[in-house]
Amino acid sequence: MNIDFIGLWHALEQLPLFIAITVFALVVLTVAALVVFPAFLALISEPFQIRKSLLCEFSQLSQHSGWRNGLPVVANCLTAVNTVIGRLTAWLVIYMTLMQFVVVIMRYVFSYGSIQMQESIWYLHGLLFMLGAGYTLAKEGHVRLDVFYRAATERTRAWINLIGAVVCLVPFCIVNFDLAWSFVLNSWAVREGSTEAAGLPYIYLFKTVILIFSVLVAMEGVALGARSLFVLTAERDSSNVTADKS
Amino acid sequence: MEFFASGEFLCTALFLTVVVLLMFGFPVAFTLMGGSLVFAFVASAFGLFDITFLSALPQRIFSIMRNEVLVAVPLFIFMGVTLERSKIAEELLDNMGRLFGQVRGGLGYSVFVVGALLAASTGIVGATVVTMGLLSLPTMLRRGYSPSLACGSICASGTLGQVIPPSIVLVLLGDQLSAAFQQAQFAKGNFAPDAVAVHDLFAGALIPGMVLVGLYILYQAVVAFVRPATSPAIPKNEAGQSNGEPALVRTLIVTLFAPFTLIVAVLGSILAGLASPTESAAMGGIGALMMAGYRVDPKRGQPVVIGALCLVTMLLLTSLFDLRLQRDSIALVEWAAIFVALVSAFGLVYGITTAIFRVYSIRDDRGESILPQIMRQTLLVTTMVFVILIGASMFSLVFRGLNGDAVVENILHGLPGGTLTVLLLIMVIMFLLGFILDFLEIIFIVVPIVGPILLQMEIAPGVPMNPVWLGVMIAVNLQTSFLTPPFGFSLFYLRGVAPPSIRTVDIYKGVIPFVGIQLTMLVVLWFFPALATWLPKVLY
Repeated sequence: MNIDFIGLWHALEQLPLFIAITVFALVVLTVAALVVFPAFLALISEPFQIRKSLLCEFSQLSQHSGWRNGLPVVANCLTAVNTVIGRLTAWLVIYMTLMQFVVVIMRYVFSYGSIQMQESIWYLHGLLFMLGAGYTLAKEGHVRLDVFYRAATERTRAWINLIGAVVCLVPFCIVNFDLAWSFVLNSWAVREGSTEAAGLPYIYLFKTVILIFSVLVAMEGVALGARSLFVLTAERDSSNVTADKS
Repeated sequence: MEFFASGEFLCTALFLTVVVLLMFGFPVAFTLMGGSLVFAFVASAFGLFDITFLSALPQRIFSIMRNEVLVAVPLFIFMGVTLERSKIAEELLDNMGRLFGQVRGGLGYSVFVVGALLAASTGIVGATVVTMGLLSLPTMLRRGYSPSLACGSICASGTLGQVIPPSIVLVLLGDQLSAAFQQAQFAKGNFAPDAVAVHDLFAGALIPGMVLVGLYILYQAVVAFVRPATSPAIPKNEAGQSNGEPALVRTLIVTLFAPFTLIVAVLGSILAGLASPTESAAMGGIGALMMAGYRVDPKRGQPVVIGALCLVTMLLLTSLFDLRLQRDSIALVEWAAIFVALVSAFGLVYGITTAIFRVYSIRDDRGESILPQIMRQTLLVTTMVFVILIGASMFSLVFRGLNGDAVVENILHGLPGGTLTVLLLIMVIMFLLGFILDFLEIIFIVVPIVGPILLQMEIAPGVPMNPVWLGVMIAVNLQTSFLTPPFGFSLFYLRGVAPPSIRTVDIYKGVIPFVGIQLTMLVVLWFFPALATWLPKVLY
């Protein structure tokens, strides 16, 4: 694979400026919103308030094996990251709706169209489900065919989830990341922009989301596997205990 | 070895592997991804699959990310979730029940009408059936409706939403069909085909959907007439005591009027060709938000009303005057109109902002604001849909890599009896797949494979198959599948929320007449394709 390092560097050069502008705009908007509407504080801090149930449930920890206690800690840390990202991403929904609404009003009432605004809605749409995928997995939002699963015991479910995570989910994320890596790098190298002349020049950033998607889903997959393993080893532990007693 | 290396065997094996893996209950999207991937690796280890096929995957994912048509999906979901979470849907059903309750079978009618109106905006089988089940089943049972009739009505009206525009299922189906149609036209050598768009499918599905609602209502009326005990009217004195109050009549009209206007405006603007589905969906989402905001505190509802009035003013102005800003000479009257429109825009912003903060102030039972919940629910459903789409495109990549397209085409062309057999076979297969797969998987997996082949065929000598008609047939067929005992999806979902006193047999018994209605509809559509194709032809 040939990477155009110079092109990549040029692409990177623009990134700090882009990030700086975004952060500055966000800070200004937030401060303005807080001045006008103090209750906004509750609104913006809300995604970061992780509920206690997400954190480790110590009552379930066993005294027998040390490594096993690490499982829920790892799982909950990964899920916490995805939860914060998912909750923040959810705000894109209303942003996107409002944006599309503004585009419609501008177009139909004032006959004014902005390709950049229209494209930013596509960006928001793509970001919505790519960044939300890990969160959806954490919230059990991905639909299952539960004819068999619903009737299964907790242990069988744990087996299904463990094997599914190890055989299906994580390998796919790894392969997808690997395939997307050169795809994204090529895009960065030429600092790919919109096919429209007046469009947004950030296709390379948009494509990078595919990599982030892989990472987020893989993280949640590991968390799912760890939780399942925790359930599976718990049964073995208790059976050991009963064996000791007898 | 010869046999195992053949395309037929490999494709069947891939399909069966994935279906069997799906049955275990690991999330569909990731089973599709992982199952196909593992199969691809195993096949390539035997030299039967070229692994470089997979390198197209990132491009596929990216094209899903920037698909303009599908932007309508999250917006419609947002509208549906807002109507549901802000209890507008519940209120609507309640008030319809009160309005029609005194008629025999009146509750049944209102379930159908509300199902047709609201399911349209959500369109996920399970969600609608569960919502309708939770909202109306207890009321219907309390009013002495026979359990089987009540369950049948709820299952039927819950799945009805899929075939009535603007359901997201039709958006997704339209998107897939337009790709399939284009492919079919290219294969025929027509490189400048007429496009099939989502609004064509909306227009095509409208009449069959309305006919279905009509048939359901007719059935309910006949049952109420022949066996009055199954669907009694609400006694006069109970419903009537509030009838005299003008306030109640006013709230009835207000609560019925607003959602009706919303749905009609959204659907109407799409069908009239005024706006694209995405644009209408955004209007619908904001409309739902404003309705929810108004509902919180109707006494202080002026800002929201002002916002709505401003919107109407702007639309009126734009039809009367030329409001374009980017031009050389603007007359004085037009400057005035533009000024008024700009002031209205501020009024609209005021209304929407107030509505958003009002919705934010609504707390649920646990004391949490419902605005983040609406957004999260929208996020969850959207993500669920699109990650399945990613999984399905992984599956179809591997399927294509195994030369599956050619295999399916050979099998279908080898069948005796021509188009009728092929169509019938595919419909039966889809019907059976409907028992184990949800709408999304079938649309994303089966339609891209068989769609281009079917659309190249001729329904009668010299008459090519109409993609809109095919889409409506698929939608009605799958809806029937979800209703059919003992495996239909909606039956499972209703079983999940129905009280234990209702026997599963009751649900089965109640739903069978509706399956009959559905099958009749399919036969009618077969003989009178104009039901689906007439409206799009007239409109566009």
